[in-house]
Amino acid sequence: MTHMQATSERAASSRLYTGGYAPWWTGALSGVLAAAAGISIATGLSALLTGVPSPIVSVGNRAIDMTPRFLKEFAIRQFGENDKPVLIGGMVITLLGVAAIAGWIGIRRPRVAYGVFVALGVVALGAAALDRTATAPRALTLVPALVTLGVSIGALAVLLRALELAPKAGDDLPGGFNRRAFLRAVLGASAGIALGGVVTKFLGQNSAADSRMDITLPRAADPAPPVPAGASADVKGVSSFITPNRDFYRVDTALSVPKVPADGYTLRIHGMVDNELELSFRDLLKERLVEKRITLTCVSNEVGGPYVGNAAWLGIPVRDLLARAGVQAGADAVKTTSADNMTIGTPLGALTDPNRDALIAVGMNGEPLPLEHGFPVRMVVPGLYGYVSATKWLIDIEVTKFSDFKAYWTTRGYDAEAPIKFSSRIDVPTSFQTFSPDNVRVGGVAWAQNTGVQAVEVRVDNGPWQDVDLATEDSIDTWRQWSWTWDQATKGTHQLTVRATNQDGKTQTSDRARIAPDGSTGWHSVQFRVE
Amino acid sequence: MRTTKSKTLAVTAVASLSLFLAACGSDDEPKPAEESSEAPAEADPAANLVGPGCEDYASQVPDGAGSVAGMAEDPVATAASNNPLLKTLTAAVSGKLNKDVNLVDTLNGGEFTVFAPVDDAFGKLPEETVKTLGTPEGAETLTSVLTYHVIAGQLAPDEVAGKHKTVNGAEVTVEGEGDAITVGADKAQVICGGVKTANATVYLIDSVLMPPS
Repeated sequence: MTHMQATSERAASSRLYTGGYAPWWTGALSGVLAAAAGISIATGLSALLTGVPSPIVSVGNRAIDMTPRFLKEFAIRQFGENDKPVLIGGMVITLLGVAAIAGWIGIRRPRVAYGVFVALGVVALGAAALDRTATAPRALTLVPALVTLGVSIGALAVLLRALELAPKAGDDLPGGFNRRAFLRAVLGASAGIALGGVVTKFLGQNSAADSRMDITLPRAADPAPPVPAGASADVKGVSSFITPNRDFYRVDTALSVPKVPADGYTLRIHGMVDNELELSFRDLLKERLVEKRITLTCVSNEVGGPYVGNAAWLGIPVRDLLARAGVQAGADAVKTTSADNMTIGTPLGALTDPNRDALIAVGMNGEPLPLEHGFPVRMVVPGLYGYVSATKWLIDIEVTKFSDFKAYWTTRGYDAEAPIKFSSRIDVPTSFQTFSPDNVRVGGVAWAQNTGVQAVEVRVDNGPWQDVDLATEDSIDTWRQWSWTWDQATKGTHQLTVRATNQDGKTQTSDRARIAPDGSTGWHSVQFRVE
Repeated sequence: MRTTKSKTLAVTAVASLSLFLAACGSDDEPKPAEESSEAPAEADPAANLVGPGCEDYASQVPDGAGSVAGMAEDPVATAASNNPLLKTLTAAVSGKLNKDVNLVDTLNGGEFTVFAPVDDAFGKLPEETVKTLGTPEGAETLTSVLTYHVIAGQLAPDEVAGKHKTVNGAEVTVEGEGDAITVGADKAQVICGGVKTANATVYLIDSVLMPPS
């Protein structure tokens, strides 16, 4: 006999004695407590995990994505920057209302209550699966929703069961349920709610994630133009032209992601300047914001490696802030410091160059920076390797001289100054990929930030170099995709090699250099097979 | 942007779930960057090793880029090039034995299980054979031999036993477990296996595998 049948029989027998049900409010309370316990515990859990939004936040994000634009704009007009808290508050109230009604119905018809809870759980699971702000592995992002579902239904079952128990003989209290069992269940659920709340509040590291969620980025005064048609190579398997935030490479020294809430954030600009500046996050958002697509590259990228990514960055030109601070004569470097005390040295000239859009970035691909990518503020400089320019969790900018300091990596065998070495990569074929002879279509990316890619050539085995089809250039600061078809492919094992030429007419060197001290060089090659 | 107010509202919204915590406002103190428990704890790269030669390997290469810990940092061809036990293999995959055979980038991209013959293993080959592998005519054979040592995907020591298709196309059989794992028809011994690199799991072996002809 199943548990459900057992309880309903007990309930039936209790009805014989009392002729009624527990009062309506006990059911409503059960529904509210069960839903709240599930969400509270899941929220506490997600607060302990990096890149995993809580179920409420995921559903909120999904709701925002699905809201028609006019309604979104109405909400922003109506509630200003509080639109998201209002949305979340509204969702919580609606959810608890639904849970209360489900619990009330559940006194008489428990299956309806369970059905409603399962439906709410499925909504949470779906929202978690589709949440584009989640940066953790997909399976992990589903955990809070699953916990919500399990805890809520478990708590609901215990509570409803207490309401169905037969009263002791001679119990003259109305309602016909075991008050002691119900009270125990209520206390149990409340303890779960309290536990989740305490974890969220005190053990959770998500104050930065919470504050990130509250941020609505202003529009750029100078937005990036649309990506030109034809910027993507038409070959399956070539990198997406814009790298999604969750796929963007992450190379940093932070074993745990620094959590820097936007509230209380200050960016200090000091050193060899006339006016020291201190800017809050709010101050930064009031500045003239520009949006630029820039391809970042890590010095640790081996030939053909994955540490290259292209994103749209929203930020303040560094030169605007430096001009306001008033750089003094004799300075040649800027030393930036992150919240976890990483130091990076950047040539002053790269930051003040009017032709180079070095940014103090607050947004990445239309969102506030993900925590892993430097929330709330980082630096992005076209044409310089990350370790000499792309400070994440940026809190301090000191105008100084290279001779007066050593940056973190400079003391570890890397050069103090390191422009990105232009390079090219084969995305297709992947290692040992097999093609049929009539369909050897290959492609990849090439980058020469701040200079531009002029040409890309490939060769098969030791054959002649051949020009590829270059995709449309977005800007000199973004990578350029390429594709090529091997028309007279011969069967067997082959090697494809690629090399790029930049707009200065220089062609990549074939000399292999290791990543230290200032970046790898060499032609990328991949073995493949035609069968 | 009124982030402070927004945050208070958000916290209140969450706390309203936690009926008992409704009184907890938001503290406006900025929290410093914290060490936190969710950091992907670096798994000890030496934890999962198998083979009778692991201790010898660890004492021959106790630290640096060629050590167990050091190899975990680099993609496999780069890692192998830092390992003093793998000089010949490194030369063979990087175009130094035969300029027409260079698998460095190919092996560094993707995920693999690599059986890596140590220098002594190449020493067992007839000198004539090695010489032939270095000639233009030997390029195809060298490629075939090298790719016979590579399986797509990473296999941990407890998964490696069985018959596997190599990237050469031919199959290789791995038998045994723990300190007694053999590879291929001629039963090359695994000296030390399960060595992690950034993209591949490496098994040092004492003989060069020969693909079935």
